Amino acid sequence: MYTEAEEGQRVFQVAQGDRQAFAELAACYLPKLEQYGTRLSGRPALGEDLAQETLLQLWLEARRFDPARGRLSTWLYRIARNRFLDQQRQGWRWLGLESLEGRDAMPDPELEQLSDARQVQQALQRLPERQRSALLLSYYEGLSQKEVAEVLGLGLRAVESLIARARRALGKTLEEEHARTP
Amino acid sequence: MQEPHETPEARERLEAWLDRYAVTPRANLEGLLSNLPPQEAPARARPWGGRVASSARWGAFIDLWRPAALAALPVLLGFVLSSALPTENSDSWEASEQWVFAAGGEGYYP
Repeated sequence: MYTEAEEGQRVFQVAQGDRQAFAELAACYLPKLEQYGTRLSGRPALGEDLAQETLLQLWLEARRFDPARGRLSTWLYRIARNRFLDQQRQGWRWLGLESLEGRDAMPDPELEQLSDARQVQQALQRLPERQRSALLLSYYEGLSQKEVAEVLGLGLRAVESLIARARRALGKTLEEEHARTP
Repeated sequence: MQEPHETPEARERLEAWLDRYAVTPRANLEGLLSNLPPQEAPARARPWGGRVASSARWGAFIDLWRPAALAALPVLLGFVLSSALPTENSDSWEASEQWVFAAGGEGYYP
């Protein structure tokens, strides 16, 4: 992980066309963005594409990043989430339905092996998007509630409430699923 | 991470569930780096102008007209005042000879 100053410096270098600085940032953020995108969409192929698209936007629009307004991580997660919402609104036309079905039809070896993980994935998908994002960013990505608020464009109290509701709903669903499964 | 109304047992169970959902990143960093498109030059550097150059042109245009308008202001003010004020040798504008003549009254006939 980089300090805020180091991140700001690297983004400045990226804006000047420095590929090495971009490679360093991409190596750090590509896995994080992919994990977030996969859990947010419930589809590994989409998670991969969201992460790549987000970093491509960093490469093309790094000069728009303002370190005074927040950390790079929150900026990138916000871009990834906005792209996810845009694509969801457009009905996944960006990928093409055939390609989406083709890729997601391939079994994810981890999820096939771990039915528990599949249950969590399905329970997460039943949450409203804002609750899901708030929970994913705070629990899996380790963002503070203030940072989650920046990503979602909400107040701190709203984020606290979203996370609490998400945890309650998820806990209830998983308990019920567990009780039903022999 | 503990939320209000969430018992420690419920929290532990939930987090145990969440921890089972691991995602192994598969995105290809090398592929991303080798397919980077060329970065666009910032608008300021575009020789044919863009939004920035265009606003600069408007800025220069406004900057030229502002002092010109200020210089013309006393002339305009003088013109407005001279036409509004009563002429010499008359008590008021309405009492002037031209006014009476124009209104069909007793005018001044040379």
